Amino acid sequence: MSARAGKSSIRAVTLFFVAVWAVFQFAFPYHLVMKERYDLFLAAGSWIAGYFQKPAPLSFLAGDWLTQFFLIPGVAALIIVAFLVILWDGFRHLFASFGARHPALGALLPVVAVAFIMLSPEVPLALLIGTCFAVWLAVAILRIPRKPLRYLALAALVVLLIPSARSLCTAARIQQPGLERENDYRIYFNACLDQWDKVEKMGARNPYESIVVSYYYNISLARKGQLPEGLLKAYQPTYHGLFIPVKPGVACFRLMASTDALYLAGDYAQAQHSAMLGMTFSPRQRSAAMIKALSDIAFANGDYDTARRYLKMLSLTALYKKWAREGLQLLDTEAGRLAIKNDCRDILVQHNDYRTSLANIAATSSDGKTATDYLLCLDLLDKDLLQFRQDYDHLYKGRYDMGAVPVLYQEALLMTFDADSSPADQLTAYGISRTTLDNCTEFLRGHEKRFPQSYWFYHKYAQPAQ
Amino acid sequence: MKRVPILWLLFLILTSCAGGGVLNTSELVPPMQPDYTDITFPANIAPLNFKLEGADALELEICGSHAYRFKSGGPTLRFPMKKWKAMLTQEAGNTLQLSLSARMGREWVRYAPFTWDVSADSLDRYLSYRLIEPAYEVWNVLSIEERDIETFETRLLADNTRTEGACINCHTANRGGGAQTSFMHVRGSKGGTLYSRDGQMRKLNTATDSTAGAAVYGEISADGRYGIFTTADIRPILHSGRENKLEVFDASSDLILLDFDQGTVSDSPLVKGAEFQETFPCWSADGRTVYFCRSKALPQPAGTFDMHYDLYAIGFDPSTGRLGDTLQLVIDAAAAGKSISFPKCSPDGKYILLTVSDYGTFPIWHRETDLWLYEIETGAVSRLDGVNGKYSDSYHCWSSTGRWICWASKRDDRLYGKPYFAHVSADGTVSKPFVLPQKDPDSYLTTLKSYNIPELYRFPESYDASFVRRFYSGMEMENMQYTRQCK
Repeated sequence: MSARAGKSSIRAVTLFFVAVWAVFQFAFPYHLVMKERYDLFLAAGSWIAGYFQKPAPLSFLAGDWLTQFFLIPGVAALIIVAFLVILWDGFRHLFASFGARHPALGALLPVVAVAFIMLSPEVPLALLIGTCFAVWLAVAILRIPRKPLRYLALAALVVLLIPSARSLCTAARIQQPGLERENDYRIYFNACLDQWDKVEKMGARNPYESIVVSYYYNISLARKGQLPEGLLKAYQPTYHGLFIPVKPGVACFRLMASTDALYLAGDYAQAQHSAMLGMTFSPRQRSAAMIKALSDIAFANGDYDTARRYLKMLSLTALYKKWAREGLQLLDTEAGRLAIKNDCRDILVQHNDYRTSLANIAATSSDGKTATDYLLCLDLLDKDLLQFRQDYDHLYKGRYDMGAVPVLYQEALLMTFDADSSPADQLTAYGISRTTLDNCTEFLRGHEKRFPQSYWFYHKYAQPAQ
Repeated sequence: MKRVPILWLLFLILTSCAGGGVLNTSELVPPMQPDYTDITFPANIAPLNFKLEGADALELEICGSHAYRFKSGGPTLRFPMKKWKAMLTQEAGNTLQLSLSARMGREWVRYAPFTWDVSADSLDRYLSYRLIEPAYEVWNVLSIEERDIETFETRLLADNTRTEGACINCHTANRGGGAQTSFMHVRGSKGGTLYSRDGQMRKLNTATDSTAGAAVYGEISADGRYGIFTTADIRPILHSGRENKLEVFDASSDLILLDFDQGTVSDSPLVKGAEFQETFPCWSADGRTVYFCRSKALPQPAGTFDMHYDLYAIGFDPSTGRLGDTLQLVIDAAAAGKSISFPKCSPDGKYILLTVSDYGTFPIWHRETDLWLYEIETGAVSRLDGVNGKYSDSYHCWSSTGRWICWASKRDDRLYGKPYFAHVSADGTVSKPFVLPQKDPDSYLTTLKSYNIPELYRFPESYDASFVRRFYSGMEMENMQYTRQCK
């Protein structure tokens, strides 16, 4: 190969890796961050010893240790591209030793495939590291001078690599990357970082009409106590954007996300269940994110021994260590422990039976405002006005309607008024404002398009999400 | 100039020696993890490695018929296996006095002394347990392991990644002097009950058209011929309150008797039917009585909080394989507002160890769940106050000698069960419990699995996970036949 051709090859390869890095860094950064969400690495002897009871211990050890730093912006793309370069170089040597004409360019083909596979959050970094190791081992074997020994070693390597190849093929079948999914991961990750303003803005846009984005938008509102106020200002996939059901076949990411609304509504049993399942069904049954969620839930529920266990685990991580140690300090001081009111009535509910559980928390817990709002919004998004009115009268009226009643509730209440009773009395009793009444009149006169964010509009036109 | 680093190194070595620093004494016993202070343990247990958080060095002095000293350059003390074995052989039956000193920075702290009673009553060498996430009503990856309690070695008995993800549960061995017999249920479309007797394995379908379902919880008779099981239809459900999280109830449950020699399933009208729910049966030591839990059946889950299971007994004639004609109420738990689960008879026939909770049939998630010891002859009940922890203590078993009990305790963090042991003396006194030792004491902290259904037995199980894979995918199933018991 001429020097000129060699130079242009190097230029092409450089450009290729810059492009790969740009795709990772700017198009799919949250696909990579999710790898960290699906993993856990503890700096403890017993944890590290566990690696040596499974195949490819060093690859997984190195991969998992590095993956924890994927939380730091930009690190994931850099690390993965660095290993892709090592992989490319290995393939280049391998192809060269077989006499390929353009080994540098040819080596890009397998790298493209591996890079694509690495975009899947479920695929661990260890797979890439293991592949690098295998390719370089093959390169070393091919340099063995004695032919029989060389072929024997190569055959042994091929046999050894069958499980890895199978893992790669399986990985290739895992969910493919996509921009909609990237957007879901992004809002989820921003929620994890408590960047709720960003979450709210993303939720208000929701370009892909994603259920996950709606779900986090609703959480961002509920956190401010403004769920009814903002509910219809963004896309709502009917009631599916309030809770994410936990059932067989649900993607691990959704299981993990399902914890957040339950936690906020004070349904700690279902929240813990969701977090536990999120971890159980994560690719390798472990997740730093879920351990953090479990410690939060335990803390909020007054399960301090459980919280301590999870915080101790997190104190063995690289990036949650500080947070965990602060939590442990809080646990050690009486003042740090929240005053838990165990005033919620104990009833039994089926999984995903949000209505029964929310009604119980709203009715019997002294801090049930969020649960009440979630319940009323669930009724409304489900277009169950009869149930809404019952729940409103039973749980909201007289407890939370001292100030201005949210417009959403006012609009829905107007639709439930009794035709036989005095309108004026009902308007006064339920705090319906003059503006809402006027808007209703306008809406009924056919000016519906002027009120696209009204409950009347939603009730008339909203279709169940696909 | 070259001397400076050498001198500096010498200085460092000298100052880091154990003898340096201030010596303080503490009136408290050391806060070691796990807590191995003032316990009784068998002479054949693996080293009780422990950790003292924050310590830079440890020194343990042990005084028995001989003196022993163990040191560690960090917070974890790992006893060398040979020295440990030699010490326990030497000291079996003795009480050891221990004194632990720990270096914290520059200061040494000597803790209050504590004791170890090295019991000459040996513990069954093998312990099986299921490893599963605490939200176990839904599972992904679970396994059953066998641990040699004399060492730290473990062996995989079953692993559901080899059985198409099917649930695997209830590895249980017989008690008594007969050939070791055990069963384990492998669920899933190709599953069955794995019955192992004297090294011979069978795959059994215990469900028949005349019984409510397949065998669930149960026990095998001492000679291995009979099995007494419940057909419980188990349903998980969640709490909405903040005290408890998970509940499990039986939609229905009857008892069934399996005759493994004849390949038959039978029952009795006294222990089946919709009016009552019967569950958790066990054999008496002589194999002539079946103890079980029974409650009036209420609509579930509405009535779950009102389900109180009493302890009942029914006779059994091993020569005819027939259950008796009368039921005997042994403990009226409902009258005390309690509910009994998991009765297990001691091999010497003197005691029944029970799990007691406030209501329901599946108390492992109830924080109030405790072990109680019932003396059969006198009817006396001991609440085992020094034995039970803050949270659920359940899923217990007896060693074959009846001198040890083992159970899953969630005392440390409420969620994750760990195998605890305690010694039971001839007069029924139960010692302070201790957790199964691990090579690295931190491993309980770093595991995300709960130790579920610990089971002691004398000999290693005759199969492993590879066999269970073949059992699941290829082994021919024997369908057990229903036979009606003659009056």
